Amino acid sequence: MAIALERSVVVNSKPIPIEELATLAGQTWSPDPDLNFEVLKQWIENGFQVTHIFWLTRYGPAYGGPGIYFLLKHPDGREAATIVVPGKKVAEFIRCHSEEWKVAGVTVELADVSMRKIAQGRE
Amino acid sequence: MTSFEWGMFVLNLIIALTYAAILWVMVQQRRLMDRQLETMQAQLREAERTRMAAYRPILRVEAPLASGLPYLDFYQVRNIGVGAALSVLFFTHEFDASTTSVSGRIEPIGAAEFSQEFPITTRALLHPALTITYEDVFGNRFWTLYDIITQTQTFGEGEPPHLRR
Repeated sequence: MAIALERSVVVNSKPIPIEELATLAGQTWSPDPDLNFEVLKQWIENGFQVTHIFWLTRYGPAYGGPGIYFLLKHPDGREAATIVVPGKKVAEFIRCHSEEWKVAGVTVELADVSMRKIAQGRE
Repeated sequence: MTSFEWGMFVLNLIIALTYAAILWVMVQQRRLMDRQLETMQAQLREAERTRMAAYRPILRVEAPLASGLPYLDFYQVRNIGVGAALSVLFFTHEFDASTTSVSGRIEPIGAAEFSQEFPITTRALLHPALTITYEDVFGNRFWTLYDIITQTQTFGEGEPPHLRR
């Protein structure tokens, strides 16, 4: 016997400056820092450019902790996305590219993610 | 041939036959022991399978939740097995495993429990798939392959063959 749950995701996002993103990435502890950073670097080496960045407050790739969601676009129109875990390498990467991203108009948002679960009864 | 020579010949023959008989008995004993060993190994394998089955976790992927953020969904798995799933890792990749877009780790999942939600983005993947790898309490490894296009699930033991390099 199990209780079925009606679940939904609630995301409240607000724009933040890139500098704040770099600070958050450098100061946030994670059990698996910089996870998926190699994937992000690979996309960028393949010619993709960052278009949007979201700081996910939770439900990231490392044990549900925070994550940084990168949306990328290639000049030929292809799109890609990945989620990295904050860490020193990621923070340094953001600092290095912050000016370039400002010029390119990359939007950075803080996305507060929460799950709403409503018990539906017994199955 | 003198009687002494006949006697020696018969004696040698008897010794040779005795050795041959001893050898035959040893070969038969060896064959019997091999059969016993095979039986014991089969019983041991059966005992290991029984023990594994008594603690085997099986993770099934549940329907995803749209996050509201572009191209990002939250997935959850349910442990439909009888044992806890430990060291749970997930990988989003091309079905042929040529590209990985997101990998991550989630907390252990008890029997009949749901996992925490984890993020999946399939943008840029032509045929996206999700692989979950996990262990039982003895360290035996298992995997679930979820084809995101056809929504079919495949379950297996050991290392996932499609992710082997």
